[in-house]
Amino acid sequence: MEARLVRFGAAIAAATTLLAGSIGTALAQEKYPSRPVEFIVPWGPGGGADQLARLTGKLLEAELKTSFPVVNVPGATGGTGMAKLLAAPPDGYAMAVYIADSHALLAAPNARWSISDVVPVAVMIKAPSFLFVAKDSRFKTWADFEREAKANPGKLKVATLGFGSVDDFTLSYLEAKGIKVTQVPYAKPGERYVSVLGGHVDALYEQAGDVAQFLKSNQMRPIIVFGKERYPAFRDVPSSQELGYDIALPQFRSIVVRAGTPPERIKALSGALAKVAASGEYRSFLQEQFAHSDSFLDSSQGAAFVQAQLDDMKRAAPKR
Amino acid sequence: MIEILTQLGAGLANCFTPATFAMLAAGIVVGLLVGVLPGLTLVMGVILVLPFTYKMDVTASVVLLTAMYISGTYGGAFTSILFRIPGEPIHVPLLWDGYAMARRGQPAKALGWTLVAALGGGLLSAVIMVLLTQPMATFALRFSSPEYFAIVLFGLASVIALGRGSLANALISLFLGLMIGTVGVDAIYGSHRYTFGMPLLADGIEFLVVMVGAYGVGEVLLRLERGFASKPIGKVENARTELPSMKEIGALKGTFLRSTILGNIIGIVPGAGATIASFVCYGIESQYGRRKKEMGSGVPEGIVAPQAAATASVGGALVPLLALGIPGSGATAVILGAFMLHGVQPGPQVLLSSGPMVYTIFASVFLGILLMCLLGFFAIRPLVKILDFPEAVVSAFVMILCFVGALSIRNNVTDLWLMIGFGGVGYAFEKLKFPIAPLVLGAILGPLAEESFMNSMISFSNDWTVFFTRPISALVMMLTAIALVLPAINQMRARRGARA
Amino acid sequence: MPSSPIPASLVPKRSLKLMDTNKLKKAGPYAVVLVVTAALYGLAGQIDYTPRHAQLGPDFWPKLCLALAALTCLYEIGRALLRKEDAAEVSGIAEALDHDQIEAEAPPKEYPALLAAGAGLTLAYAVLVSVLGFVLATFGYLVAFMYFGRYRNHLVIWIASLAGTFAFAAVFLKLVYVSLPRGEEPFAQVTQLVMNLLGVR
Repeated sequence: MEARLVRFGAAIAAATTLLAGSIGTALAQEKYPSRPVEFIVPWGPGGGADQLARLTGKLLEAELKTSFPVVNVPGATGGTGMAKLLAAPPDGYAMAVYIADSHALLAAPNARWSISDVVPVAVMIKAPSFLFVAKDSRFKTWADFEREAKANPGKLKVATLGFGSVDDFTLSYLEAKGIKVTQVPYAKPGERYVSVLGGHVDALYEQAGDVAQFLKSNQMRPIIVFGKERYPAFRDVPSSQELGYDIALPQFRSIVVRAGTPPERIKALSGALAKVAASGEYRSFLQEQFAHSDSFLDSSQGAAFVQAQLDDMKRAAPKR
Repeated sequence: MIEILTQLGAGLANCFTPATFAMLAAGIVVGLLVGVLPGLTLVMGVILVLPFTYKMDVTASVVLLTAMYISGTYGGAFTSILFRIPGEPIHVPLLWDGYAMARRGQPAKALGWTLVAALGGGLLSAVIMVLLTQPMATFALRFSSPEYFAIVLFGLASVIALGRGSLANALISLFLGLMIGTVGVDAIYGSHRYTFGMPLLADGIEFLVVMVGAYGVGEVLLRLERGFASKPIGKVENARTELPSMKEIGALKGTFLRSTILGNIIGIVPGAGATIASFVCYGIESQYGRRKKEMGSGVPEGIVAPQAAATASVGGALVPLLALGIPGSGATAVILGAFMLHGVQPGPQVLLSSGPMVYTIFASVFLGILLMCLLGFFAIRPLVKILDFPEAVVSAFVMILCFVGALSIRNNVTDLWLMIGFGGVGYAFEKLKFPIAPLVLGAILGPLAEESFMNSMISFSNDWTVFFTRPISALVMMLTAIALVLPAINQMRARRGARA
Repeated sequence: MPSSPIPASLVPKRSLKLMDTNKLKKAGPYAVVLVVTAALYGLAGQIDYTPRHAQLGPDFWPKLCLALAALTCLYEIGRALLRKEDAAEVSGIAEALDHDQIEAEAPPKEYPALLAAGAGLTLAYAVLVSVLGFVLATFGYLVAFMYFGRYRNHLVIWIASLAGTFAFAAVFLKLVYVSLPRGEEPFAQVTQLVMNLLGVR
């Protein structure tokens, strides 16, 4: 046993000597980034955040000449991935996708991290949310839906992501205005969509990009968009603002690094992302996602935007 | 009918264009590898391949992903049967009889049975898929939370009935498994449950960690304790009996039919998928099968039922994907992504508007299954040879394979600790004659059970009678009741017999 | 749980006193589970969430599971303590098979020291993988485990371990990137070297 340990030790020693050369070269490099940057996606593979990371990672690689391997760390509405980001040293070699749903957790009193723990590098996507109904739904327009909801409070069902989510904030706001519906939370997107297509719920709260396939094949249609103005692709659908509801919590997906990362590294990333966002490939991605074409915000604008979103969410969050 | 056949023939011809065929073959091989490696889940594998499809045409890319999906339900059978490491949750039921059969000295035969099961189940379900896409898709829409809950409950109940040891022990093991499933942030309220302030636990305990730990690591520890002195297996029967004979297959045609049709239906229901299909069909076989008394001791029925169901569920899962654009599982969600990437909208009109493409995909499913089984056939012999290596060497690699699975599932070392912990649990359960299966099953299906139960309650204002008033769920609930009551009666009868 | 391989029904009649300790022994594991469920039930009551009107909370499901588990335990404890005779625990389908096997084979020789060594090695791996990095820790584990497993072909052990480590590294660092531990300095350099050798950028 001892002899084996000695031999094992000898092997390590030999390897270390071999390495002496490469250590020197590694330290000499000051350039950032000089090794792969881990791109944390706090969501499972296949979702919107994941698609964004894989596309941006690919385009960034061409821009900064290093790889951006995507690491999925799903769970706890993004909380687990955030914990991984916050555990890494603030050297710019780990960054994460940060989206509105995770941001909403900060509106609750018992949040697990705070906005000052991270620095937004850029906001990549902003997309408005809608209420959708199945194509043969008896609700032709928002007015139909509103009338029925007011006549029978709590009888209509709306599929959402979960309690305490952005979806919940919006519906709570509507409830305060007299439109009371029953919220049915479906954590899995597939089940959420079946619920409205199969008539198990009356409407679905979602962003258009996530249900694009149902919109193009005419299985679903929007009845209201939450925001200041109508969305170009759905000219006939009224916006919440014009109906007198001052609620607009868009889905946004940003990229953040840990607070304390050297500013020049944040600038390097933000600059590269600006070029990524201007590329044709990225612009067509935004269109597919039914996002705003002017989604991109750089580091400083992004920080202000994220803070303003949090204030809005806190205002809309259900008070009990 | 004739029209379908001509379309399918044209599709088959399309499959043989070099580009498409290369993708089909590549997909099958990569899918098998992904299935074999625990920790590299099927969904992860499909995602990793997705970027390569950006430059291909839509048919080739969907053929590639579908082929991976098909063979991903088969690859894990090898590790499950040879080393007791299920690569995917779908292969847990497979190890109950498969590993037992391998340990009895017939590893090649056990693998042969999975091959036949995958072939039979896959082809039959492909036929159903081609003929019935549209009506089946509409049927799938009728499933809502109460139906999901009923199906999951049936899956749970059927495993309790497996009854190695006392019924009470099985129940306790199951409830502990369900409790493992509650750890983390709950899906509905977002509240932290049993996380003890640990960020990783907030994401819950991955069932892969429970599954690979309790089965794989626990088994290696048990055999290490015996100094790796167990009888060398494989030598006795490395012979030519890899594939079961036609006569043997014929004797199991009931099992084949039941499992394939049921697996197909469960595959169609979005959100259920291959895992539940394989558990439920194993359960059905142990309740109603001809050799129900011997299930778990290494009988072919126990291998055929889960494997046929798992492969059949693929054909099922493609139905709502193509006809409605609804992804029923993680892997189909990625396939949907590939369609969308190329501007094709799956949906009710896709059969009409993109007929040739759809039939090429259908044809590729047939061809893919054949190709997969051919590859599997040639892989059996070399893979079984691994068992001839010294047990210490093989076990060392098995352990590392388990470790990598734990490390890679969420990129976190804590999962390694958890898995080793569950290895200890598996060892202790085995020593104390406590059944492991209900624990693992509870951890896998627990979150599904809870979510569908809670959603039913929310949706129907806490009226629990919905489970019995909706026709589909009532039917499944009735089967569940039978599954639970029968073993209890058997147990009482046995006890009375022992006393007399 | 009885550790003796002889089925209870074959044991000759016991004295009353022996039977009492036997009863307690039977009830013991269930009592332990009962205590654990009670503790977890208490914890479930402390789950922090915002209640919603007329809807079940996130504590309902765990409480339901725990209550059912506790009921099962109580039933078993009651059965163990109240039952007059010690009937054999024949119940499941597979039980009979188990007995057959045990009677046919002599109980296998056991090596608790080996088990302890293997378990210790495994725990050491979990501790060291973050320090040494995946590559070094895996290599060490493979070599040590094969020796612990009473295999003594030195050449095979070292070559298989080296090749195996490289194969794992190639698959999981190059082919599919999973963020395996790199280790701390100076060991991280070994990981880096292997990555360079494999051509990972």
